[in-house]
Amino acid sequence: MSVSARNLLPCLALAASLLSTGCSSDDAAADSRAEVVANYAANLYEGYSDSVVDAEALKVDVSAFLVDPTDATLETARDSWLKSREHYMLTEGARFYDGPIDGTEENYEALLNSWPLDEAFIDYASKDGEVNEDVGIVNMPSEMPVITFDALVMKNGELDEPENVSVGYHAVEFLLWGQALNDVGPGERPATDYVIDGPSKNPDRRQIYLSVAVDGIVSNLSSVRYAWEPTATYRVDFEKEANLADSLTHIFTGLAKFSKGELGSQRLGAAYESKHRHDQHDCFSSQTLVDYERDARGIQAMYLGNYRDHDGPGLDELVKAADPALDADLKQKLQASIDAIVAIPKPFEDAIAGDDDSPGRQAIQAALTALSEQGDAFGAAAAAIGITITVDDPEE
Amino acid sequence: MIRKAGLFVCAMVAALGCSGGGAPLDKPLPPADPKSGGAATTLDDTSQAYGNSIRKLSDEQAGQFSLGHSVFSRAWVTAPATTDNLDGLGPLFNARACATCHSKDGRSAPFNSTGALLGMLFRLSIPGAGQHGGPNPDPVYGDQLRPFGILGVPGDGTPHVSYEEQPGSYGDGQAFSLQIPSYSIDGWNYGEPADGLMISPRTGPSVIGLGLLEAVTEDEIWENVHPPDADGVHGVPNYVWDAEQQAEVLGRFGWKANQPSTLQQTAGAFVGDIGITSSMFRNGTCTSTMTACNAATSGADPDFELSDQSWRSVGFYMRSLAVPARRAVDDQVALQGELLFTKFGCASCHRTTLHTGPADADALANQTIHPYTDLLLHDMGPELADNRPDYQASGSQWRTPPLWGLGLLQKVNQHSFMLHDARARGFAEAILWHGGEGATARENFRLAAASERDALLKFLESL
Repeated sequence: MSVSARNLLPCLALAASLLSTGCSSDDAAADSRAEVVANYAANLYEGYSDSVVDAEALKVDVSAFLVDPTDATLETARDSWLKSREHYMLTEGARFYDGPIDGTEENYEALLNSWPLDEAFIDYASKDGEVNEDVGIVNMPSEMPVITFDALVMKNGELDEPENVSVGYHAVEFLLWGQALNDVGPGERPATDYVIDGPSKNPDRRQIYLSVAVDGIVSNLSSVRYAWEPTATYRVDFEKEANLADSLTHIFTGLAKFSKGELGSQRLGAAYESKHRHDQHDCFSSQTLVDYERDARGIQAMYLGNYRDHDGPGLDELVKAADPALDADLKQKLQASIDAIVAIPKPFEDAIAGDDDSPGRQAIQAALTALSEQGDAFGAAAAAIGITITVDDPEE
Repeated sequence: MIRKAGLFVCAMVAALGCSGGGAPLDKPLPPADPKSGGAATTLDDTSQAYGNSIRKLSDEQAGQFSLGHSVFSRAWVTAPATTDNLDGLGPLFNARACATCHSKDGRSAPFNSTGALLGMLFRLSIPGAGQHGGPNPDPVYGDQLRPFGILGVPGDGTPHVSYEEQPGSYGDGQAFSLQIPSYSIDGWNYGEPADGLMISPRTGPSVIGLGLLEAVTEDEIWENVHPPDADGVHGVPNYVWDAEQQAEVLGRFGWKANQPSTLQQTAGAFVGDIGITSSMFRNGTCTSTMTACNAATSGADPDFELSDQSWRSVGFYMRSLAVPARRAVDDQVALQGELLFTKFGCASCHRTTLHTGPADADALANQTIHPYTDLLLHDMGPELADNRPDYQASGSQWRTPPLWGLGLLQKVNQHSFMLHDARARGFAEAILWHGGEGATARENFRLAAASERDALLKFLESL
């Protein structure tokens, strides 16, 4: 938090100044904890709200594309998809504590962002240069006469998480870009896939699948946002005085596990080990590194209590009051991991291949290390304010 | 940790010194060892408690763990796919990912929210022994039911379970009820199975501490093999086929100890449950009459779908999952419960302490651990029998399942279903289902005072 914060309540400034002069009473500490938790929740609500707005914009652009499928409208829809990821990526640090995004029976995270995607379940697929145009729900009306979001989830996710690999952002990405068949670069799906009476089979069903998938993003994001509304039960409980310690535990757990286990170990580490070029979340659009940078920036912002141009009371203030050196160290690490991800040469599928001493793999290794150290630093920072978390590998 | 334990004692003595009421305790019981997995213990007691790696992994091991975790938790997809290291699902399958049945490295509930069978599969066999002395598979459906297929490939059939309540009562008259399951399969899509088909339902157990159990020496396991004791307890090892060594070896894993190693168990589950072939099991599971199944595209690699690197990594991942620490180690009621656990005879099979020998990770080697299993087969009577032999295991023998971490099941997986087919709703019912060699211990529990039963359950909850 900086002194020039715009939306600061006066009492917060007072609490912060009390803390910084070392005269804080227990009450002041409790107040500041309450404010930090409330600010986290408010920022997260904003993040999901923006994500819903983004998804609605995507829906508009996809609809325009479907009405008039041309190269130009396809390009607009693709741009809209890329933009629609930004605010959602900023919220991903709020996973792994059984919150509204991944802790309910619906598992919205799985419905929104599951990866890998079952391409041949959805649409035609190529193997060794041969296209099989008769596979996928799009091309098999007998498997699903009427394509609806619920039917897709039921059919592809017969059981439970992590079974749903037919819907969400990456399904839309696949339907806009198509399979990434080259070693490097995005998929090259032609706009004519959606032209009625065009060269591809079943454009009408492909249109419906894409619409339904976009609608699913809007609807599931809206459900997550709803849980974080100021008057929603989850939000109210999250901010209750009696639950502050638990809520702080959740917040730190999410940040630590997302840093080290998910973004580090799973998204970068597993790909580093396997060396598979398409072991990356945005394999169809080839924009993975953009997402990973947003993820890292989201983590940093959550620690600082920031969201967009709002700068509120953050975890950093609690940690700084308890142990200024730890706070400084963590801030340094948060920036270092962003810098390390930015330093990875794009695209990811190029960087991941090659020898371990290639610039790409060295840079990925450096980012991995930075994220791992950042995760551990979250554990130390939490401990400094009396919060115990286990920093380790998370579960999907 | 020793110092910490000392502090616990001091705190406890202090607390007792001030307390005015409650049950008198002449001599407080010393705190229990919290490190159930020795050095491979994690202090995490949250919903993620089963998913932590052991400490002191080398950089190379940490990398293997990362890759293994991704292979374990990601869904396999239909071939062909851009993600060509993760394609080749099915054509017939039970689940798309390991983590479907082993959610959060634990045990998924037997049913999902719509009532469909989730973390449960059905082993199939017909009378007689198969290759290498194992179960004799059905000629059409093989050795397990795969209810699902990729698009265009019908699943094997549809399993059903129904329950009938059977009332009972404790020694003090308090009532309980056990649910007796009955299983059936209909909608066979590839013709009728062979005559005499045997069905055995199995739930996926949690995958914590497997590296420790694999590192328990055979001598240590043989220590508990002896003629029947006064209660009729008589553990025996299973001997099963090891596909890597091409030899018969001691079985350690699975509900009937029918798997010799985590690697073989893993490769078996990949091909059987997900339809993913590997260098160990190169042949898919479509039999000759399954036309659509045989016609389906297989994964990117022409020889097999799970790369050796992925296979070894997921094996390492499972061997490197730490065991949650025992909690409430100084709780006097839970400690009393532990004494009763031994007194009732539970610990005769659920052996409290074992030791590991050499292992490829420091935290797994030469550890004193508390898994509460002897890794041996015991006859559990008609109560739990599936009447389906598996190598040396008879139709009523089961391997003693480990109990460590089970107290966190509710927190991690949001249910408390136990036993091989999840018929028990919590610890008490699981105990009450014991028969055969477990009958004496069960009766000791059933006839005990309510306070003693509660103490025993409190102990189990602390694991």
